[in-house]
Amino acid sequence: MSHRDWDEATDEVVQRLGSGLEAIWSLLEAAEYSTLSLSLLDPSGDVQLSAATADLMEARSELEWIRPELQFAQQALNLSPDGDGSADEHRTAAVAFLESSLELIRTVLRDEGGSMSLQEMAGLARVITLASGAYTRLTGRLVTP
Amino acid sequence: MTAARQEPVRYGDLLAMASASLAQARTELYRSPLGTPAQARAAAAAHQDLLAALGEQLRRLYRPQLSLDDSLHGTTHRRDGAAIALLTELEAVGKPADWDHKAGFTEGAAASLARASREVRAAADVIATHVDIAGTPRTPDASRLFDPNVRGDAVLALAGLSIDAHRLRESLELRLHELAQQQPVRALPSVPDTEALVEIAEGVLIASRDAPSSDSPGLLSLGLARPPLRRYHAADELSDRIARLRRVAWELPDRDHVGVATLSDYAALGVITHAHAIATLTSVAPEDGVPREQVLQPYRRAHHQWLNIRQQLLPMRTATPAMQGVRADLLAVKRILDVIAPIPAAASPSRSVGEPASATVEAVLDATGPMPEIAGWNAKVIGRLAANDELMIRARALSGYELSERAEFAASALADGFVPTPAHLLDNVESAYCLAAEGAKACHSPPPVLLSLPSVLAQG
Repeated sequence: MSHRDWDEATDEVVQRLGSGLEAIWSLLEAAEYSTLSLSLLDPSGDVQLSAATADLMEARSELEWIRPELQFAQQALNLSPDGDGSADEHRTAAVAFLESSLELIRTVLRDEGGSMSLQEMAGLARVITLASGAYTRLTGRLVTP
Repeated sequence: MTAARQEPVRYGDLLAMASASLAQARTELYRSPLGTPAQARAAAAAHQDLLAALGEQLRRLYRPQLSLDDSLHGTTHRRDGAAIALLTELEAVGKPADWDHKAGFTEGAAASLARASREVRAAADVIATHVDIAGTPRTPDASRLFDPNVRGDAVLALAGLSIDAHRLRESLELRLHELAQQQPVRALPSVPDTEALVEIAEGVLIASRDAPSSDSPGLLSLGLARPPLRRYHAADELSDRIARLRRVAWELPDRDHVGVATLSDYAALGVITHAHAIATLTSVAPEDGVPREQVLQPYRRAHHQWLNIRQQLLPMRTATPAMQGVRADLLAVKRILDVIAPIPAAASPSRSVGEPASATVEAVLDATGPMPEIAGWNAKVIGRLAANDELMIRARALSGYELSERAEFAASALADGFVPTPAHLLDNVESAYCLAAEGAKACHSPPPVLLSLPSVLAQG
């Protein structure tokens, strides 16, 4: 599947969950799942990918801190390619999910930033830091604005 | 600048302190007379109290077996037989009649002796935190109390203290007589006869020479059951948090309401600790003659298994959310490791990492130590969740074959609902846990996934 197909999958998430934190949470989980699938293809284990999954785990914890009900939500959107997908497929998917989640965070900050507390904005800023860090580890380049 | 590292109090440390206090009491008795009758009474009482404390301590070590198994003498090593004889002898001494608690605050030999018995009792308290009032273990380390070979080091130390206490007896008696000659004393305190006792204690030492020893850490290195976090040094905080996560993981199989999210957090812990261990080992110069890959190999294998577990657990759901304490410790461990053993991003080679201090390397590698045990305990929890049909997975995440297996699964998929996790997915998780816990030899590989194909064809 190409990058475009993953963008369509992302659109489906936004349709179902809205463009709020719930959708961001789900996309980050999908990105982590794809990254885990990718790192399982390499038996020697790329620690870069593990660091990326750890950052994504922490990013979702930050979101759960902002909206505690997220941990009770049962979103498990299996967007990622199957376990037997190729390395390229997994990597493309993870990167696409990360880009979409960063885009959604930007939207949330623009539309709802005015009504957020400073702590919530700081939490989202930390999510951005962690997700961009994971992006850099996956792609080898910095997130372009 | 780093603060000095603190060491947690261990059982053996307190017994060593008691031994030092005894040595000091001996020196003081040798050097200076007992002064007043009150001090003489306090010294004799403190000496007797120390013997009583040692007896209580040995009794506590042997109580579980004495009550459960009367044929102890026949079944275990003769060291244990000698130790039980010693504890009987120590108990026969009895508690001092006029035990004055203020004796500990006076000076001289009486104070040192009183301090020694306080230290022996404090050591007993350290052990007592690991079991509840019925003797049931409260921590994963409580098993050390019940294995005669593991706790042998403590029995040896207590026998040594008994001998030390006996050696003091002669000086104590001489000083008492000296006092009686200098001034009229109405009732001279008596010193218990410990000749028989010391022979038995020496028997324990001799019997211990050929006693079976154990590779696992002994009782002397046991600390408090729930020590406070040491937060002044990153490596200390890391090991304390890992220890706490290990304790909680041990409790999980017996605890109600554990969600798969917590198991998933433990899997993330396995991934993170092993990834940082690999990164650290890669950044230090290899030891002479040992190929780096050979050192890395076990870490890589465990890392892969935990990645596998984490990937399989991520889509699973239970109604119970993650335990906040575990999550907080996991995040703290991640943040500490990111600081003390960073995995530099390949894209920013300018952020080079110097060679880490050896204490840091040790702490990072030690963090992976409890992971095999944790895998074993987590596997029990996932088995229970599955047996209770608590473990759900989104029906759409299943493949077509799996859906056609059961009609209600297909209906759930259409309605985008959750179904109990199919058995073969559980088999995969359980075999991954087994590999993480025991290594490749003890585990059988799961059956192939597409078992349902013939039944699909038959129905078609």
